[in-house]
Amino acid sequence: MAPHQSNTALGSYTVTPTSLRWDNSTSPTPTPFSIRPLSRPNPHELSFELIGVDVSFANALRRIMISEIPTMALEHVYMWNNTSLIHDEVLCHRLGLVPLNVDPRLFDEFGIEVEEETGELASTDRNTIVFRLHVVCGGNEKEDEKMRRKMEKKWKMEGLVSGADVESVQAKLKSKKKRHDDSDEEEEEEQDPSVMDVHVADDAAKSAIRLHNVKQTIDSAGRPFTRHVYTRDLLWAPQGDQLANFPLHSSGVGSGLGGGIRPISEDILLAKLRPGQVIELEAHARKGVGKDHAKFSPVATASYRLMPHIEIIKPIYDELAEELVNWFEPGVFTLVPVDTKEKKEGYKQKAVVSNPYACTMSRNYMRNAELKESIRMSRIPNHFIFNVESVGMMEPAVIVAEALRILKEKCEKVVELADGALASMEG
Amino acid sequence: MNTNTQTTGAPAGSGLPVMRGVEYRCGDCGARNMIKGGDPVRCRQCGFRILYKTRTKRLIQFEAR
Repeated sequence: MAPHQSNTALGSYTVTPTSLRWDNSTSPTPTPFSIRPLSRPNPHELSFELIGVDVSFANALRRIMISEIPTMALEHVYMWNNTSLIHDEVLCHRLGLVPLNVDPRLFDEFGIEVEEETGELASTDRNTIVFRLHVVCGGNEKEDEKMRRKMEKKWKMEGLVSGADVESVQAKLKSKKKRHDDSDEEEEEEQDPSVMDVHVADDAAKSAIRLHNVKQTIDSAGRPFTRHVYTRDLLWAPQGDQLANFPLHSSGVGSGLGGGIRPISEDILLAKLRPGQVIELEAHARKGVGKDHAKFSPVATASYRLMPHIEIIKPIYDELAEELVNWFEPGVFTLVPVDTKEKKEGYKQKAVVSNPYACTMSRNYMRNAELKESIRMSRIPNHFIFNVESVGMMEPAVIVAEALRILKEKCEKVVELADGALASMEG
Repeated sequence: MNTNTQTTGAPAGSGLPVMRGVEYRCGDCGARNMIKGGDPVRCRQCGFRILYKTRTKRLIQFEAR
C-alpha cells in the first residue's frame, strides 16, 4: 500500500509511514497498544496518551467520560419559602449545578428500590443526600450576624452540618498535623502533605482575600445591607449511617475541603438577599449521568487531539532555523550546532524537532517558500493525546478508569447479545 | 426522610375559613395587611395602594434542572 494524500476542507492530511503500520490487516507489525500519563498540571487536570487504538475507541472513551459516568447532584428541591429576588426555578437550577464532593461509587441509583407499602420510589441513605438551606437576611450586618448565630444553634441541635463546621474541623486537623510535622522535622521534609493539601491551603488563602474584598464593596456607605448566600450556607443533613461513613474529619474524595458530604467549593454564590428576605428549602441529591443533564458530568472537558508528526525533509540552517524556532510554540523546534561536514559548508546551526507534543499544528512554516519545501507536517491517526479536566468530584485518573470500566461493560453486553443471537440461530 | 416537616404558624390555606382574609404586603412600606372581601385595597400603615400577595407557605417541589 502506497502512502496517499487526501485533501479535506481543513487542509491536506497525509498518511505517514508511521501510520501505515496502524493498518493491522496489511501490516505484519501493528503499533502495540500503550497508555501513558503525560502531565498533571494541577489536581483537576490530567493529560495522557493512548497509542495503537482506533479512533472509534478513543472517541467512545471521550464521550463516556463526558456523558455516562454517574455522579451525585442535587435533583429534587422542596421549597417552603423563597422571597428573594431570584426565582424558585432559577434558584433550583443553580442548586442543581453545584458539584458535590462525594464519591458516587458509594451510592446506589435512585428509582430501583420501591417502598413496599406505598409503591413509591424509596429514598434511603444509600441513594439520597439531603441538604437544607434556611437563610434569613437581617436589617443590617449586626442584626444579620445575631440572627445567623441563633439559627446556627438551632441547626446544630438538629445535627445539620454547615460549611463552617467542616472548615473548623479540617483546620483543627491541619494545625494538629502541622505541630506533629514540626516536631519530627528532621525525618521528612515538606514531602508529607499531599498535593491536595497544598492546593486546599492555597485556595483557602485566596478565598479569604476575595471575601475580604467583597465585604468592603457591599458595606460601602449608602448601600443597604445585602446578604450573600454561598454554598457554605447549605446544610448537610446526614441520613442513616451517612455521618459514620463520611465523618467530618475524613480527607474526602475529589478536590474539596474533604470531610462529610459538602459541595466542592464553599464559595459558590447561590443568591443575594435584601433585609427581610428568606429562603427555606430542602434539596435531595441523586445519582445520574451527564447525558441526562450536564450537571451530572464529572468533567469540565474531556478531549483528545492527534499526535503531530513533524518531518524535516531538507535541513534548515542559521537565520531560517532561528525564524522557524520563533514561529512555533516554544520547544517544538530547537537549534543545535551543526556537525563537522556541515561546518565545512559554512553553516553554524540547524533546527531539529525536539518536542512534537507542544505543537498545535499551526502552518506558520508555509509563510516561507523555502521552509514550505523543507518541512512536512501530519498527524498520527492512532496516537491520541487526551486531556481530562475534572470538575472536582472525582480525580481525573478515576474518571478515566471509570470510563474504561463502563466501555468494557458495554462491550461485554454486546458480546452477550451476539452469543445469544448466534445460539438461537443454531438452535 | 423528613420532607414534610412544615411547621409555620401562619394559616396553611387549605380548607380554612376565609374570615381572616388573605395576607398582602405593602409595596411601599412592606407592612403586613390582612384583607378580606370588600375591604379597600389600601395599606393600613401608609395608605399605599399597591399590595403584593404573599407567597404560599405550602411545600412546592421543583426539579433542579
